Amino acid sequence: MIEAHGLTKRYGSKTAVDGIDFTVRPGRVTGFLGPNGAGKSTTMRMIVGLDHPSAGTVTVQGRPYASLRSPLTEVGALLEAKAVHPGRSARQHLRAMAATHGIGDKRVDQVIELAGLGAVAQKRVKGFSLGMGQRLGIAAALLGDPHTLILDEPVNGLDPEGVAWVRGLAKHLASEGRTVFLSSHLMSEVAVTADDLLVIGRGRIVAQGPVDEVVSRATSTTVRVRSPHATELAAALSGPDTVVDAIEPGLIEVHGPTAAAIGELAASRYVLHELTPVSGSLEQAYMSLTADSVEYRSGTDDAASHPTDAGTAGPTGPEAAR
Amino acid sequence: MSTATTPRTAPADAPAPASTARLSVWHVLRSEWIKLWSLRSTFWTVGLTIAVLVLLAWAMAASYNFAGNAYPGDDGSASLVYFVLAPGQIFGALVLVVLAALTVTGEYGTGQVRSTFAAVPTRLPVLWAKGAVVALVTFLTASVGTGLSLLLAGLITPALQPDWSDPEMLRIVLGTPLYIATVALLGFAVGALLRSTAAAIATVIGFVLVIESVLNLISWKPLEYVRPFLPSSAGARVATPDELLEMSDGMATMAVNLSPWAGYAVLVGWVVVIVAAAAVRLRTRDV
Repeated sequence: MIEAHGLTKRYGSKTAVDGIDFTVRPGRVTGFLGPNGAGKSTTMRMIVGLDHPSAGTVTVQGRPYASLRSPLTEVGALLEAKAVHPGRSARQHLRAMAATHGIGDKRVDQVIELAGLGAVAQKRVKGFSLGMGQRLGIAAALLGDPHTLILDEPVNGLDPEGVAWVRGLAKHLASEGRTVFLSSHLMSEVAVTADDLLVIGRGRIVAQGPVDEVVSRATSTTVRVRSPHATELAAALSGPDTVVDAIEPGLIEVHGPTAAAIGELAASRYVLHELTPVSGSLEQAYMSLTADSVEYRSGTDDAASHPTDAGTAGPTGPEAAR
Repeated sequence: MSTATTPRTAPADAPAPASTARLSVWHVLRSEWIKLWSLRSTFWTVGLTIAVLVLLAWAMAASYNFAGNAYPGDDGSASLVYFVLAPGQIFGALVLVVLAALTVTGEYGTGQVRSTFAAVPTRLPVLWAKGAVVALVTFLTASVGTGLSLLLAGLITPALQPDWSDPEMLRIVLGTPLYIATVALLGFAVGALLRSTAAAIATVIGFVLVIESVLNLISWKPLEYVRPFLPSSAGARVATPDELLEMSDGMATMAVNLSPWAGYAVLVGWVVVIVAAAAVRLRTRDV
């Protein structure tokens, strides 16, 4: 269990994390999602006491991290790839970390095998790829067999096999009742791994809850319908949960009912030339949640940056991203 | 990497191996010991220090055969032994400054420090443990180098074999590694404060080799109150015989002429003050 109350971090005049509150529960994988620079890493560093909060508190099992008597057996953290001296071998790095808590070499060799580092354990970290560095970081996080895991961008740089391994590992650890908190800037990655979602943008929590809920709250079903009878169809569809936008003569976008429902309604009376569901994707939910909080927005993809405008301004979805 | 495909993901497979694990100062000491001896730079600097001490002693002993008359003191006296050891004192110390500074700046430079402080979130035990390991290893290294230097010098030139009945002999022979190790600790302290390898090494070596020498040469009255308290000049008194202290005190006037151990205390004071500043910075600043 990780709890933050009014957690704030300011660097000079810039506020990296702005008074956030959240709870990360045990037994579930919680995804921490946000664009680069949104405050994910800063938040995670504050959890493990590397950065001091400017205001507010964050606790693990009700206690500040720095007051834990054996931090490694309570919290395992992968903070960034290669928080490791490159001149030391992977095994010696793990031995040194383990030694701070009197954890023996047997456990060191266990986590080396667990992380698939057996072949390179004696090699200096200098020559490691990003993916091997990540595996070493995860091995270090597992050293103390902790009940809480904090993984900052754990799949960064991993090959597909490694990505699958991390996903399986995170789910397995959560199924054992552990608290698993992992960050990513990729919605697609978090969606397949996490049970709960914590979305951060510009240092503020913009959404939290179970993944399905967050996604459905952030997206509405939109169906594009092309029909010579568009006007009549629009009238027939009207209802309290339905919004119809006329895009051009013979083309409407319907927000609310599913494509199947529209098709069934139209079947006997109206000719349809096109019936296309155009939204509801995870990426779109993410975009709309963080649209106003992307720190470094590229100048060319306005359509992707302002998906909330899409309902009135034009079609959205795969085509719009072109 | 071959085991990665297996679904063996459970760290709980093992019967709770870490349940008795506990953070303690002793454990942190052991961790720092492992860290020090798992880097090649440690072996390089330790080896280089011993080589520097022995080579300089060899050079001094060899030159005694040409210029023996210019050396003060009787055969085997503390003054002669000091002449064998003196060049190594300063240059051996400077090599170990690099080792000592690297133990802490190397962590900041590589990101290792984040792993270290995630494991030891109270941070200060890391500083104490590193300091203790550095003190022990630099003292032992300098002791071995000093011992080998005296053996070699005695073999080349029997007149340089230490006469242990000289009351100052023990202070010179033990003071040499003591001074070297403490200057190295000065490097450690400055490294912990500045967190940068280049800045720490440049500061300490520049101060010891250049600034102290210049301050000892400039004849400006107020400097008489500064000279006795320069860290390296003061600390070196513990490894210098009285006869030579009187000679050097005659050249650069000082407000007070500290005793050998008072001079050493000045050096220790510098280390303590800088380590204290580093400790404050460590507690209050982010990493």
